[in-house]
Amino acid sequence: MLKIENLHVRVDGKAILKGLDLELEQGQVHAIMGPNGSGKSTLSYVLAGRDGYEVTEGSITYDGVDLLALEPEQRAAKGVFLAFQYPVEIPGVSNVYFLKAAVNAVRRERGEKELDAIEFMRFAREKAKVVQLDPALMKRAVNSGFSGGEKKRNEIFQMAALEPRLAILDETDSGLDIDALRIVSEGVNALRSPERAMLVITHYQRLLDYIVPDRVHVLVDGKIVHSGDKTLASELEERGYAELGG
Amino acid sequence: MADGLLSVIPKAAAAGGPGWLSDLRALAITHLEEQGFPGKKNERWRFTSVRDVVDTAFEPDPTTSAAFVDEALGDDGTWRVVLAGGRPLLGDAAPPDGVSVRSLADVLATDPDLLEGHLGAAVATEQFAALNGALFTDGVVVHVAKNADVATPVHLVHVATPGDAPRAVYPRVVLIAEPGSRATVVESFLTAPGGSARHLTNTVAEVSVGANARVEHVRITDGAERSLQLAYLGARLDRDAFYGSRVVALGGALTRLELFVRFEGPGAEVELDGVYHVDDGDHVDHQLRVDHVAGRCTSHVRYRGLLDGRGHAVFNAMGIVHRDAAGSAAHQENRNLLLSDDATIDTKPHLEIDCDDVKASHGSTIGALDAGQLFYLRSRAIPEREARDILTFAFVREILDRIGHASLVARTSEAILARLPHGEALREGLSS
Repeated sequence: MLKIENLHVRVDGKAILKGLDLELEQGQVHAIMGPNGSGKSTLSYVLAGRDGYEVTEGSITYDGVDLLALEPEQRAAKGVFLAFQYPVEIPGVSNVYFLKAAVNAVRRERGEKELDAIEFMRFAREKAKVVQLDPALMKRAVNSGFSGGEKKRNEIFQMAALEPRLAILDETDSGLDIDALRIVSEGVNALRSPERAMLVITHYQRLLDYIVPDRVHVLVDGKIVHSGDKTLASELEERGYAELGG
Repeated sequence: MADGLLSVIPKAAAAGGPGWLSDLRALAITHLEEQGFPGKKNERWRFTSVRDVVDTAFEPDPTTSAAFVDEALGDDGTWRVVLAGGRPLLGDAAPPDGVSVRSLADVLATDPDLLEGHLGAAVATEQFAALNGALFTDGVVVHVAKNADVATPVHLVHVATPGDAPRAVYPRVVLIAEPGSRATVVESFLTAPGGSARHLTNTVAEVSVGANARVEHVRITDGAERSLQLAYLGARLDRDAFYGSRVVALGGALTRLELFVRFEGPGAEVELDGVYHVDDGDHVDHQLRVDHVAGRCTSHVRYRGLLDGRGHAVFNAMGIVHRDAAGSAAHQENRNLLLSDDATIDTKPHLEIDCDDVKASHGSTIGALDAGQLFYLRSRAIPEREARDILTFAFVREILDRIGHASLVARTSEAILARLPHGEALREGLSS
């Protein structure tokens, strides 16, 4: 479903990814672990299509399509979803209005009928249960004044509503206490499906106790240096990146 | 210049009325004759030229009806009076309980004492306020009774009806809120369809907010292509009073508002909120001044601008805290969203403080849409052009919401969306 080959990316003229290869099949959950500055967030932004990330070499193929040729909104409409490490606050735009616009944009792309206000509210309430999101937050401005935990729950809530085929979770565990981590992880697990692939990007093994991956990759200095099954995560925790990366 | 605006002045001097009114007119005329009309050297007129206006010989607007208004505004839950040709078209419908709404000409003829100290009191030396002072013959007096709580907004609809030669109206509004009262007054400025020449609406509104009274004053200008709006709004507050001014200015060839507020008793508060949008051919100018004469008063100025096309906006706010006004709080904020490389904003919020015990802040920003927010929306499948409009509208929405009255929030929201490139897509989403 997703094939990344020899990906080289520069940010502000500086090489960050230096020949990254990765293949992800439908239904699989892969984790990418790596130290700070290894290129984890760059990978997630390149997949989602953010400006300022210059691909100098290599390719990304998603469902047989050249992902890099698509605008961010086209990628999202085709089922690519990025759960942000730092969800963006948007004062003046209510969560419910924002998500309705997003859900209907995706439905248009799939050739499905758009939801009206009443249908959407019913739909959104169902989806909010996945992460036990306080319904009051739906009426508030997007992420405005949300706590760290609320922001991350809101990301997974959006993921539940947009039903992506490829979900990229960028350090979804950062800034969460243990209770919030459990709720968010349970939400993610509930969304695992044979039709959906997930790329879980994290610095710490902790998250992978909750979201158990099929494969673990170690990213160091812009390259995958090691891949293995889920036991690799705990091995990393014990031995550190330096040793495995060497 | 004798052929222009000033050519009508001699006739004005002959107008009747009580002695204090004759004095007021004489003062206005003297001021105009001595000062002339402002040019670029006048600090408050540096960015707005009225040369064109001054050289035009406007005829009085003879219109006596405005049938399009009901359809244009629909049932908005307000009690409306239409002013056509600068005169109110008062029907038989009684105004909401606790408030009287009368023609200024009638009050001057039958009950002039009511106006003494209210009419003319707030008008200092601004030239276009003086022009109105010299030339007004009618307008509206809104009088809110002591302790009355008036829930239904009183809505004055000023209609400009352009003809084939330049026309002008000079209506004057007097709003008196007696102590302890609460009321909302809305002024809408609409332009009738038709006509080929320019139309000048030169208004003065004088607002007196009595002790412990609360007045909400909404002002919406539609900014038609040939519309010239030169307005002065003066508000004076007695102790513990509240005045909320909500201004929405949507373009126009020349739309200028001078909004002067004066705290005359302690413990009062004003919120001066505004939203403006300029595009090709638009010039919108806001000149604010808040005088903290009495102590323990609070002023909040919050204006936000959307600048598109080759539009030009001017914002100038001055807060003055006088020597004896201890415990004052004066805050000014002007934020602008630049949507085009060709739009211009001249913004200058500033404070003059002659007192030590003051909380004050002022600032202005000019920026483009936030790239992070734009990417976040696009990463959720929202097309870029729609994402831009969503963020543009969000920038002013918070201020619009403060208008409070749902039908007016909806009307101004729709009017702004109609001016955004892809606003139609949002309109449906917001109404649901």
